[in-house]
Amino acid sequence: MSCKQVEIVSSNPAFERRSFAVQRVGWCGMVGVIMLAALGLFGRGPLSARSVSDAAGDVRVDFERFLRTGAQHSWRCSIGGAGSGAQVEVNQAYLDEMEDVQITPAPVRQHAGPATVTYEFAARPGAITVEFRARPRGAGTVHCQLIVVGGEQASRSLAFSQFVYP
Amino acid sequence: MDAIVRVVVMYAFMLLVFRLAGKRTLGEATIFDFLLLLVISETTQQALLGDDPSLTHSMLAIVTFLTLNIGMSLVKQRSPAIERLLEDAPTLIVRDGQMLEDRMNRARVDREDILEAARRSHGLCRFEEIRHAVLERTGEISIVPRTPDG
Repeated sequence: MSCKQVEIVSSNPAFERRSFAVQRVGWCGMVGVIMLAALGLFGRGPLSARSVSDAAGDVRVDFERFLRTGAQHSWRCSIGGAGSGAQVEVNQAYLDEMEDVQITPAPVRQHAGPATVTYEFAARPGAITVEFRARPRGAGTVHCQLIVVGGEQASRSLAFSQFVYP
Repeated sequence: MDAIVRVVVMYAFMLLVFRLAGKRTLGEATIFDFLLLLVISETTQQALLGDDPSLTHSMLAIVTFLTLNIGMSLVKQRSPAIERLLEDAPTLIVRDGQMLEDRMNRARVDREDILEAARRSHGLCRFEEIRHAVLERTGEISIVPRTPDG
């Protein structure tokens, strides 16, 4: 290959250097994204795992802070000392943002109020753990407000927010 | 996290399977090879994305695939032994006009494949016009034609 041909092929070394530098930065960014994803920034993982509980520590909800549109997620509500059954009231606005809602154990009864849906669960010895599985319909922040009846106290209110990626 | 694990497992699996399948498998793709590739990609897509149709999940899978591939290329660049292990080495299949049939059989290449490559790359019609032929790592056959002085 003659010198003239080399000049034609590689006519802008400064641009090439910049381009390679940008590529290297991009590679580091990609590795960073993967590490953050592994830690749970885009879904399951330590960064995403959160829990809220009432003042007495009787009711506890374990949930994921980061969700993805259309991907199933779940949160678990543990109600201590619910020997006479339990009720979990979920705000309608939250349910409107979800589809394919499944609840385990299946509630014995459910009824809708003006802005909430109440699920009633049968009595069982020890704590009741309710698992709520659903798929978010769209991106954005969703707010869940729960009123839990059962256990030692009359009713407890818990709230948490989740961010849904597109 | 789930997306990353799926991609890493699938990448390693495909690397192994295509390495075991040999150079000729998809190197010179026929229509059937092309169909096979489509079926493989469809199956891979299902395994990678599962029931998560989100944009974020797809983008994460793509970033993980590309990063793995860049990482592998850097490793291969630094270690010829790993490069040979992962990508095989070029195989001489015709030397000085003589077919090396043992190697051709092992690589699943026949005389017609060599002639086809010679026609495509150099417009050669007779086997006698070929001096050397090499099965490259990409699965393509490179032809070195005979010069007038032999």
